[in-house]
Amino acid sequence: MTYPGIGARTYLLSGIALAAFVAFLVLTLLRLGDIGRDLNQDVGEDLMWEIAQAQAEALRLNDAVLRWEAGGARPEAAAPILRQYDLALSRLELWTGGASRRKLAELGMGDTIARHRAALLALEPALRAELSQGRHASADVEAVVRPLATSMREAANRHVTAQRARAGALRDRYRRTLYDIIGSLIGIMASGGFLAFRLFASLRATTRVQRSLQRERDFSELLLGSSGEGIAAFDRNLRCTLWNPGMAQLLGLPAEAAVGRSVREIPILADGPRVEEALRRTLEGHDVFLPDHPGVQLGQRLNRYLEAACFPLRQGGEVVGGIAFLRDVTARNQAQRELARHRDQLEQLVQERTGDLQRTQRQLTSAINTAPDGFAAFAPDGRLVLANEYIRTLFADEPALFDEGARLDTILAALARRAPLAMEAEAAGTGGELMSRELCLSPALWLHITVRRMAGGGTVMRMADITAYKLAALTLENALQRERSLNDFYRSFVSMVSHQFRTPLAIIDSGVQRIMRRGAEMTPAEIAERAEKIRSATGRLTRLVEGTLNASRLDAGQIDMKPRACDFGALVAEACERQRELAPGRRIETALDGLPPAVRCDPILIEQVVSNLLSNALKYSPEHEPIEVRAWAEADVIRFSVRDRGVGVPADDVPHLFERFFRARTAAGIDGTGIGLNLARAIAHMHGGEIAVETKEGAGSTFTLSLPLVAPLQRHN
Amino acid sequence: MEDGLRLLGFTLAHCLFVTLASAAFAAEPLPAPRGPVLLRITGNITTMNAEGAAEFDRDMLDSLGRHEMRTTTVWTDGPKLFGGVLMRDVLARVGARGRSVEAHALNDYVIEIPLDDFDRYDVLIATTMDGRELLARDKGPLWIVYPRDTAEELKDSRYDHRWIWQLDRLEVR
Repeated sequence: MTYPGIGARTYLLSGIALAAFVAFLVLTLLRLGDIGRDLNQDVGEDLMWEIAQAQAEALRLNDAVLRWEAGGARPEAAAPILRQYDLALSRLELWTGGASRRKLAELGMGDTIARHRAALLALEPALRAELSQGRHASADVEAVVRPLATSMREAANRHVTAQRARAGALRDRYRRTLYDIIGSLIGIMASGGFLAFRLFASLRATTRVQRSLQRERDFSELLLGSSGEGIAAFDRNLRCTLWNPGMAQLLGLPAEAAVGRSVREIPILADGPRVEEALRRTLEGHDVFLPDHPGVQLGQRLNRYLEAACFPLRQGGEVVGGIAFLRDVTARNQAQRELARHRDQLEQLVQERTGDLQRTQRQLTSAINTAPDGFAAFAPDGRLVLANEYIRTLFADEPALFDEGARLDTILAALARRAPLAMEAEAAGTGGELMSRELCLSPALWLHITVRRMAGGGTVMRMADITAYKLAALTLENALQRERSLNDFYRSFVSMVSHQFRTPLAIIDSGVQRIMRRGAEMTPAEIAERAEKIRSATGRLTRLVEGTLNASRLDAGQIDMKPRACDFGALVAEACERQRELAPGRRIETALDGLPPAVRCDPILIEQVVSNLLSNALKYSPEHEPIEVRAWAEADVIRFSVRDRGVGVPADDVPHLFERFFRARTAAGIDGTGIGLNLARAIAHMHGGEIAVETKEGAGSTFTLSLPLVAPLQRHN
Repeated sequence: MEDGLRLLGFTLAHCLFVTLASAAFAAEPLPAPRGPVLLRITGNITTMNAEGAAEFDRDMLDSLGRHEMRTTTVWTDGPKLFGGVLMRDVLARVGARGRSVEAHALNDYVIEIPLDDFDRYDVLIATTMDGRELLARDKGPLWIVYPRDTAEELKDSRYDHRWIWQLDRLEVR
């Protein structure tokens, strides 16, 4: 495992720090060991004390002897002296061996001490004799003790000097050692600190990794534990190594009863031979799946449907065991069975319904096909699903139009193309009616097309043949129109007659009454005047009748046109002359130059037009105003215009000016039938020409007759 | 702390043992010394054979049971074989009760020794060295000898100073 943050370099550094730590520690220990050894060495106080003791005991021996002598030198009181002798001797005896003897030898005092000891030992026989005899012994004793005391002083001096030198050297060595130790300690602290830091870091990393591992383990255990599935693991010997709570619950066998046991020892598994067989196959490296069929005896015994899957556990490519997953599929199984039952029921239901539907559809199709109308049904997406034979025969020239799958808008577009005028939309009705139109496929075939939305979202198109109805309607309409115009005609005629005929009749009647009342008293001049008036009125009536007849002849097609080449200029000039005769006071100015020698026309009819225009100009203008008459030829047309400066025609009357029996408002009070201009225009039309008017109320009018020079006549021929 | 407690317990138990042993011996009266008195014990003791003291001659000491011990010393070269009686036997014989003994030498050297030492170590009151009687002129007649070679801590000057020779008197306190 690699801990995060620790590389080879860190290991190397740690190794170096560890080596340094150990080296410094060893160095420190060695130095401390030196000091310890030094401390164990006797530093010399003992020797000094021993020297002092030896000196003191020797002097006390001397004192004891002197006191004994002063006390009378009694032999029976000599015991303390002998004891003191022993004590003094024991001090020198001490130096015959051990460390003290070596130290004295180092001080160069070995021989001296040995000499003094020998001297002291040599003193004993003499001393004992003197003491027993009560003789003075101080001289002998002093001879031994005094040099001994002096030697002791010298030894003490030498020892102190040597001791000081040694102490100085020792201090120096301690100081050096101390420095070494301090240096080593610093090294120890540094390397130790580094190691501690590394240790701390490693501990932290380890703790982190351990925590992470723990978490993963906890999570795995949680997964295994909380899984609703049973999970069990087996080693190569088919010994159970894992048995999760799901397994325990599914098989009712706790983990303690399973883990560590062989499959054959686990009762519920041992009963099912397939389990062991499956696990053996798993150990051979196969994935084994045991579905919930009745062969798995586990499920049967537990009254459940169980499904198991076994997978080999591999480590380094080698199968080390197997893991088995067990799942309770009882609920799923029941649901599946329930589902299958429902499906069967549904299928049966669907079959029944489909049969019903097909029967209904057959009936419907038959009904639709035998219907006298065209019929097409469209699905909600606008595609044709059904069309009867009749609608196809209606559009036999476009056999693909009503194929199944054709789109409604395509069909409507095709219909619009065939009869654009008739496809103008009519107001769509209520109740889902999208369109209701009449379509004229040909003058002999009218269809009424209705497009309705059905309740289910589809659309239905119906085409009814309304030709018979349509033709009857047209006939009726024409008849009605003719009836209306006839009515208008008669109304206009009666109105005209009541106005125009009444005045001359009244004149005639009053003239005749006057003659009858005064007959004999009347002068011939008077009679002549009355007769003239009566004649004039009669003439007017005659003209009225003439005009009316002309009109009815025109209507009856009884006016024949006999065109021939004639001199148009002469014709106009003669007409002007006649008008001058009829109205001698009026001035008629003519300009008739530039006319071709002959114009092909019916001179009688044209003369009538010219006269009508001239008489109108005279009639509707004041007497003092002249009439300007012009005739000229243009490229292929000759024109004849009459201009007056009379009453003119109101602008709103101009469009009706050429209608039969129409009188402009400005014509009131002036006799006329409203036939002349109508007849003139009819004649102009017969010649392929036209009469136009330019007029302004109160300023006069200019009527212009245009006659084509050649074309219509040639066509007529 | 725990060590301290254990030591205290040990010490107390030991005191009790010493006391009981003393009581056992105390029943037996100490005879009067017949030879020269080598050791005089005073202080807090229960068994005495003199005015405020228990006095031992050489035979009385030997009667407590002789022991031998080989050890090196600071004052001699090479290991020596010492013979004598155990200090604790002597103290038990006199019913010593207390914490320490004050040991006095002929030359008035005095050292205080804790009683513990005698329980912890086989401290000998030696009368012979290498089979030879110890004399006053040669650290005799009695020398307190520690088993210096058996315990490392004994190789210390503090213990060395308790090796009192020319032992004359003990005072139990």
